[in-house]
Amino acid sequence: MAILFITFAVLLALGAPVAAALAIATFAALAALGVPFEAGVQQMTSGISSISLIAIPLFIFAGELMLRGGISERIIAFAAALVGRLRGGLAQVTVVSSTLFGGVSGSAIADVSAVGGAMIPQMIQRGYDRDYAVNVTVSAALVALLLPPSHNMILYSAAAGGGISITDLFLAGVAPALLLAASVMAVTYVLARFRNYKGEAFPGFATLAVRLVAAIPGLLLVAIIFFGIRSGVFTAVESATVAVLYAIVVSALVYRALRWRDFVEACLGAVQTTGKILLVIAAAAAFGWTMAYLEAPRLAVDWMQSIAHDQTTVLVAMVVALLLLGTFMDMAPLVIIATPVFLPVARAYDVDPVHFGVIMILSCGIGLITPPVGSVLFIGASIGQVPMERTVRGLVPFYAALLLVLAAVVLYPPLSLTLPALQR
Amino acid sequence: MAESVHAGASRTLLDRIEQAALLLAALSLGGVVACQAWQVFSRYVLNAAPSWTDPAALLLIANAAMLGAAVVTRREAHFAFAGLVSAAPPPLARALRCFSDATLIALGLALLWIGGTLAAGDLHVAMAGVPLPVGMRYLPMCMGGALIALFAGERLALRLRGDA
Repeated sequence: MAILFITFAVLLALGAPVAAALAIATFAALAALGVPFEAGVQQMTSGISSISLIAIPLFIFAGELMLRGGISERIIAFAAALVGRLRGGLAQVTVVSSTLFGGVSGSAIADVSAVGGAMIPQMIQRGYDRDYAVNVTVSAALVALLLPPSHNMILYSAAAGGGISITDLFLAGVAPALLLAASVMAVTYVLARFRNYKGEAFPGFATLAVRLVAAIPGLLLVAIIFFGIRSGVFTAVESATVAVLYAIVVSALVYRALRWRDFVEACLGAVQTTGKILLVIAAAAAFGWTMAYLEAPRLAVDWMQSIAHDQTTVLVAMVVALLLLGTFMDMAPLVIIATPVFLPVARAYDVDPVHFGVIMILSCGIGLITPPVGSVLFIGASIGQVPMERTVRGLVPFYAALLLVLAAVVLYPPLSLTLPALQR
Repeated sequence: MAESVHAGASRTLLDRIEQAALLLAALSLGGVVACQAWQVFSRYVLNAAPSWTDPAALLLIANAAMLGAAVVTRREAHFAFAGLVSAAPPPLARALRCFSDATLIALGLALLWIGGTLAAGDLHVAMAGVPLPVGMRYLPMCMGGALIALFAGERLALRLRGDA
């Protein structure tokens, strides 16, 4: 076991790609155990041969299409008419747009790219501070992680062995996502008062209605995905296929915004993201199999039971560990690696796996906007052309809001579990 | 002079291999969409559930993933912890990047060799659902491994020459 973990940690610290670190550590442990290397490659192949995993690249593809297909522009226009008159109007528009677009794309990266690309320059042009514009956008982008069709939730379900309902996970994230959006809006409002940012003029109910109608084809996607899976018309993978086809139809035929070049770029972008994530999933499958062979999850449970006796202490300890790990690791590999170790511990303390899924996604998600490895923060800061240090200082109130929401999710399970229970 | 022309030609060849890998990966992704769409269409319109769509989609997604991973290797975009590399002085950072390339070469060669052995061993076993041998399951690993090693080798060579 020491060989497995020490090799992985050393390779990772030296800058080796996560997939290579996982695979080489696995091969080193297999060599020490006298298990043939073929077992490792068989596990890697099995790791990416799960039907439910196919939904991940397809939802990523759908997100890429929506990013380039005019859906985000309609959503932003609708959000501007809806909440633009509030104090810090453009910032509030950013939060609402991120929430609505997140409910369509399910990806924080797509969210910050689409909404941030449009809104950060507008906010700066209207006199908002750059760090404020970036911080509102990156914090709001995290809402997408909790809303269907969040591919990180599918990743969690797959890393857990596939036994956790994706529909339950999608439903469980909705209330925490809305609470997160409301918290970010509240912080945005308070900071806007301090900085004296005004609201925008209300364009009138007629404009609001027109923009709503224009945004509906894009927004309908989440309803199609959600009710399609829930009613049993199609599986999660088939719903991802429907999402791709629907995104093509809406952006190319309804909005007429998707050109051939955009389509090709969406394909190529999706393929590369898929390659990055699935290679880690493959290597993590072999790593996880070796951990199970060495009984690491059982040892983790035993160790945790020897130091903590109540559910809350264990959950808080795991959340702190995930927050710390999240500052150093990207979200997808962290979810894949941490789930097989942390979930058995959570189960041993009677934590519902769906509830734990929401906790894990939110805890790992906060790492996306913390240095030194925060991909959403990097994208936001580069759009806003603001140095990372300046952004991070201004993020403190947003971190506080996110941690409060995380605390509510951890300490009050009905926040996550009520909606899944209602649909059963 | 002759050396730089030679290096330029290798680069062009690798560019073409990368473009071919990207194209094949994108086509594989499109194939997955087609398989799953056909599955829904068959179930509701033709009232028949085809058995080949899921195994075919799994093969295609493995293909897309491994080819995509190879392209990501060339573009140095794999998930990694860059803390030490970005904090290290330039000579050490260069050495660490070379080390990172070497780990990818090792991974790629392992996938090529072991994947190839597994594919060859299962070439005569029929896969359930599709008229293909089980050994096909390992071909994406094998092919992706070869390309990962190739592209990581290129990066390492460029770094050692001081071009990257």
